[in-house]
Amino acid sequence: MSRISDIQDILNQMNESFILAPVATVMQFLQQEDLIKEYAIGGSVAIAIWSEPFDTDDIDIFCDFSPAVAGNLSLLRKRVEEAGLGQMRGMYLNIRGTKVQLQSVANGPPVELAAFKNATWIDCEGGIKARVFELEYALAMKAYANRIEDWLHISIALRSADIDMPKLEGILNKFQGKDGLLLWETWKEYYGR
Amino acid sequence: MEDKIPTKEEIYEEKAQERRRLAKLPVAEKFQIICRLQWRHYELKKAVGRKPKRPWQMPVEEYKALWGDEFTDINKVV
Repeated sequence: MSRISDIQDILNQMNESFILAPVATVMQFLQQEDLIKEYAIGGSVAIAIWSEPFDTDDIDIFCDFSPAVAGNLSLLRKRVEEAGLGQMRGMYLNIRGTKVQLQSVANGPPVELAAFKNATWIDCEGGIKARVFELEYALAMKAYANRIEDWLHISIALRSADIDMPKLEGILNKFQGKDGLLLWETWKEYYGR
Repeated sequence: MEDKIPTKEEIYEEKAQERRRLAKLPVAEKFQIICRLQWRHYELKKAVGRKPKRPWQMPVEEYKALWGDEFTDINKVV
């Protein structure tokens, strides 16, 4: 995938039922174009990848943007449109119908940076790999976001996924929420010890 | 045994096993389930006359013709 025009061919040849593989392919393309240095899928989709699946609206992708893009999104927007990937709306991209929201990890909270740094590669569809937050970090990020829907997603993972609880507790005890309290304190309010 | 009425605990355990089974599905299968859930959510919202979110597998132009822009004002802000 070395030329801009190739990306559309690759996406068009992909199985129509694939959802994550086109997204991972576009992210790889953005890396090759030196628009992002690294990416990782987070948010609800990261939880759903490790737990029972549930309805979600978009795919949140955390990006370490290249310096050329970091201060000026117009370059990213221009290259995305040149590659025929559609119009970027704010930070949203439509990749073969799937709504993807790009988010910058620059100036993110420490728990987000740790989640990004420790993200892992998974097989998605057709042998293509995607980089995703580990489950325990994805859960910690949900605790950090601390909205009703975040605790719903945490509950879904608790009832269905294989969670490394000592690892999760370690992460929650290491990072603070927006209120300055350790995430573990927030967690205990919901689930006890 | 087949005629035995299951206890609540047995029913809960069966549901829990199903959730754990779903959690172990390959990613591709999970995303197909997510897509089906999106369609169900779409139909439910439509049935009560509320603007639904666009399922990933629904073409953008088709959605726009029915419901207008899928983006909110907040999403338009860079």
